[in-house]
Amino acid sequence: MKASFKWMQLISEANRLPIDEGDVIDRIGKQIGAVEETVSLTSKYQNALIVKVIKKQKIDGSDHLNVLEIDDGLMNKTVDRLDNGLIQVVCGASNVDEGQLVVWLPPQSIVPSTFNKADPFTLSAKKIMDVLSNGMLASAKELDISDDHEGIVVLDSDAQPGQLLINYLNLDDTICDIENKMFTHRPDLFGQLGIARELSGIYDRPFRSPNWYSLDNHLESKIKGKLKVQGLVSSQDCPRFMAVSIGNIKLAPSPLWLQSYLSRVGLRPINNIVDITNYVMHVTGQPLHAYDFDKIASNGQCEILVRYPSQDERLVLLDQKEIKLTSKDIVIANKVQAIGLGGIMGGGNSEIDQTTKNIVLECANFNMYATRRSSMAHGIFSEAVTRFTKGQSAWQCSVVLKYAHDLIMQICPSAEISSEVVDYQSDSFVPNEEVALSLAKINSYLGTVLNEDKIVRLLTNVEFKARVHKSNLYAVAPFWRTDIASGEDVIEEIARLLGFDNLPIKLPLRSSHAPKLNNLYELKSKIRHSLKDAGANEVLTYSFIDKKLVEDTTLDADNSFEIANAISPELKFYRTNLSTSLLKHVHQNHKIGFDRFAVFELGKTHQLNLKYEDQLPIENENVALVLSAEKKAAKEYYSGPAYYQAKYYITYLFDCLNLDSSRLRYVGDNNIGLSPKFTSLENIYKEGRSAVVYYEDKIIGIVGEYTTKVQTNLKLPDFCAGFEIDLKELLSLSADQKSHYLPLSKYPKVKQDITLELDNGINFIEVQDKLVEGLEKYSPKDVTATYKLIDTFLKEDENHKDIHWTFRLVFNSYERTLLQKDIDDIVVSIKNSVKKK
Amino acid sequence: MNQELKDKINNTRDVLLKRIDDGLDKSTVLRSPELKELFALISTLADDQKAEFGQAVNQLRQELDQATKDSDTSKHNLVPIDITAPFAINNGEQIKPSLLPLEYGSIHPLMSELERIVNIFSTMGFTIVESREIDDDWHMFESLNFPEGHPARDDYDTFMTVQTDKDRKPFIAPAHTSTMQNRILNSQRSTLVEGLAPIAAVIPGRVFRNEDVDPRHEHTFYQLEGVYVDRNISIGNLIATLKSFLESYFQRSLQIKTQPFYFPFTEPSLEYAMSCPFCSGKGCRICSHSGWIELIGCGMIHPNVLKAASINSDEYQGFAWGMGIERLVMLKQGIEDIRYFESGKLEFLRQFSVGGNKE
Repeated sequence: MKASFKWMQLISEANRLPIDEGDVIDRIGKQIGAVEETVSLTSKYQNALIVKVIKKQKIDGSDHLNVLEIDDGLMNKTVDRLDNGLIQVVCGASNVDEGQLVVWLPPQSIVPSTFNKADPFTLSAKKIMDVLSNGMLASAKELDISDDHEGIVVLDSDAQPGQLLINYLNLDDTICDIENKMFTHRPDLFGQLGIARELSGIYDRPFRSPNWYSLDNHLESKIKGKLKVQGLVSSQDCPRFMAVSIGNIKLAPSPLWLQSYLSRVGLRPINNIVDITNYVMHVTGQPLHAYDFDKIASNGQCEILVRYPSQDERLVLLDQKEIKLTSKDIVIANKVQAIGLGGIMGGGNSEIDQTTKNIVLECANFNMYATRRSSMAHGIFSEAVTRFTKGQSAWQCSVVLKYAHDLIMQICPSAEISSEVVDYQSDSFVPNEEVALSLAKINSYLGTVLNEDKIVRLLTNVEFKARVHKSNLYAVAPFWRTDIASGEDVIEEIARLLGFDNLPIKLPLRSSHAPKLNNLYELKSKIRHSLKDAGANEVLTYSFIDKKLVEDTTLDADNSFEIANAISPELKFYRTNLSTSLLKHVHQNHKIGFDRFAVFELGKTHQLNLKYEDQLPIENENVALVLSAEKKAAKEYYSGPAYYQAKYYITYLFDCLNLDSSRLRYVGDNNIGLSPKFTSLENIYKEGRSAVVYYEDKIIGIVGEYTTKVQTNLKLPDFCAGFEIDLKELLSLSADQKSHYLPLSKYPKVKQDITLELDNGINFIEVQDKLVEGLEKYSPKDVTATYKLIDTFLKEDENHKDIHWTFRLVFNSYERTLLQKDIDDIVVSIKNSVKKK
Repeated sequence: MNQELKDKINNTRDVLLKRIDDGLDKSTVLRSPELKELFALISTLADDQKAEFGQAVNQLRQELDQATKDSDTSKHNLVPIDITAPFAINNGEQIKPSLLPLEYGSIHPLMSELERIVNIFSTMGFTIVESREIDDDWHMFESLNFPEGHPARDDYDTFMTVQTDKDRKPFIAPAHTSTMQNRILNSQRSTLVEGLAPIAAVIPGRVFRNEDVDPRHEHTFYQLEGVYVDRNISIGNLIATLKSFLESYFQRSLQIKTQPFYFPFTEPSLEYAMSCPFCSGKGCRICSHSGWIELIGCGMIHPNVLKAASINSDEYQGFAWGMGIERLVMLKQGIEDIRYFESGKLEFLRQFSVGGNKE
């Protein structure tokens, strides 16, 4: 919303604003809404001078150029004058003539239409066809007022030679662009009048709307039988529809002062009628529309219907775009056809043009929901839409219609009312009700000790009716406000007018009741820090993935929630796991030179195959890690499959979380189907090189290397593996956290390695079981033993493969010093018992 | 079998073996249209050719099956392994699994900042509730005083799913962490009403907006929401609470200014700015030489929002706020492009490791 200081002053009929513009802008920012930009017009127009054309003479050899002598009232001090004191300018405009009052841009001035542009055009004194021209005479386009470049601007006789254009057109103005977002609930602030009132309130000064802005001021007509309106939509959709026809219109450009105001707020002048409707809208916030009466009337009479469209009805709008109407659009129509889309845009078939003599002027109110619905359906975001979607007050229709009528009469004196004033009203608009609330509540909410006078004054400054009775405030919002329904709304009004920054600030007091901890959040934090310490990098990847990734990783797209309005195909599906998102980033990082890394992510996943919880999709919380090394790095730092490296990280993580990693089991029968949470991962892990991770009998995740297809499609190196673990399961294990502490023994521990030789094909877990069994069986009662695999060795001859498993055993007794013989006995017994067949 | 049929088989063999070489997996090869075509051909042949050709096609199938197995193992050396073992069988040069160097590791800058923020609020007595990534219309809009079809919904360009909820409305990828407000108000109401403690929670979470991505805009970003409800809560309480947090976070005293704003779920609504902590409000590159940084949208919780959670707005009032995390981190770290956060680029992430930029 662009506010013009001069325009505000003009319509509030008094110079109420303080001089210090900086302070006003500051207050607008603090108490109305964020100021996006302020533009001072003063410097843009500072050199433009009104001059009189004294003499005009054709230049020999040119078909259109004239050399002029102009009178600037001797205002310019730098230009070289003719002997007679006048100034010579060359002008190519066909409309220039002696005696005219025109706008002169002297040398060294910048053409206003190029002001603040990348390439401003500075005028000079230069020769055109050998004739010296001092600057130029300006067209409306060059003055940045309209697109009119047909000829130069010719002013009315009230202008004075030597007068600054700034003074003539009130151009010592500042335009303040306030962010629309602030006004979502303030339809009145979409007009200069509303902003002026608000500013006045902020300065704690009483504002009185101009006399015409009063419910008492409405249009009357004695004519009958020319215009009718029928409301055929729901009472909510169109609360009010007023119209009047005006005849004897002479379509012409509007006066320069009016054009100038429109141009300040970014509107291009079109013709007097359209300009007046725009002008009125920018003053009051109320959109208006003018139809060509003769295009919509039959036999000199016009009946307007406000209705819903018929099946397959179409409408060509003012911008020539044809739309197919939807059943909920509000259509303005005559008996024959649609002539406009209510609240949004007029139709092309009823547009006023150069032939227009009579108009129908509409001033109606459309529901904000209905307007938004149609605006969204057709993708039209007009100035009218901006205003109606804020919920304009239906009350001001009569006031605004009268004001627009008066302006038309002023600017186009031949015009006259040519119909009755029609006023369709549904039952859906009612006067603003009185809101009552206690002064105590106001002061508690604001943290203030405001007295009743101050509260009443703040509200009446902006034309509320307010009174206090027995410590209660009774307030009625003025007719143009539609946002005051509750006590909180009134409090907001008071707070805003006071300025939030002027309220006392104070921390709330509370009991020291300890807040409930979020265990999952803490778990995630611990994991994050643990994995960071293990050299891994936390990444965040999008929650949505694309079809290609789904296909590349052979996931089942049918198991994903699908985005209906994705910006791009890359964000089509909710991801069902984190691993594939991580895998997607492996290749790019190797490519730019990271030869080995581990990346991990903590995040949510969603799957269609899971049941809902509280009628919402279940959100899984997972942690996934992928580690990868390029060939050379893999060779240097690792041996054997990447699987073991991934597994090592799981063990590490369990140790960090103080969970017992010895209770983890790795099961390789690809039995992942047991847990629907992991169905999405089944396809990406390689059979024989991956395992389901159990904590005792509970599936908590999956670990391993990826299928050849995934590896190929995502260009993964051979050494690449990872895991994905369910955090909610992990959290449930924290109950199993236990202390690893063993009381210290007075006696020394004894270390002893044991090598078990077994057939190739017997896997580690069986070997370990045998060892544990042996230790339990052969260790004396007072001896405890711990074990750890430290080496394996493949021994191969022609007909046999053996694996030698070497464990480090540590024996401890609380009762005696263990002798080497005790240990040897145990070790030999175990070795004998597991001797291969 | 005539030459034409032989050629057909040979050609198919060449094509598919080449694909196996390129890494195509077993099921794709065995279900390829080329192979299917050969099988389809069998039944069209004359009886005398049928048997011989059929046999040849079956042979080819077996051959391809074997080839995929060989390719798998030879190319990637993916023989089944002992998945129960902690490391591989020693083949002469055993290096046991190890962690990567500590100095490689990093926490994502958004997460480390969120942790810091959340920790401060924890000490101020706020519980932590993480936000959802898929929600319904009630939580995202209705319960927050955005009636169906309300124009204020336009400020939230939400992603919606094809799948629908019980009311046949699409699920929503939340565009703000306020989507959790109604749940929090409901779940902490009893503590409030019993007079034990105010409702006080912060909600970190990932949110989504359907907008085009550029160096300053992302469709996915992080917010931290806060809610506080008790008796006799004032606007000054809101301003003071956030000020107290910011001063703790930036470890310095700050000036605060606010601006009226509009959110349907707060009344009044404010935009909250602090004096630039990097230049003490003098104006610098970070604050675009304005001396101020706008950071937080906030306000007093709208009575309809309290009502939606069965809290009596005559007895209780509250405030809520939401702040973007990316911008804060970008300001603090001088990060020039918001898209780096979710890029998965180690070039970016490892700058936040202990090793930092030294490598």
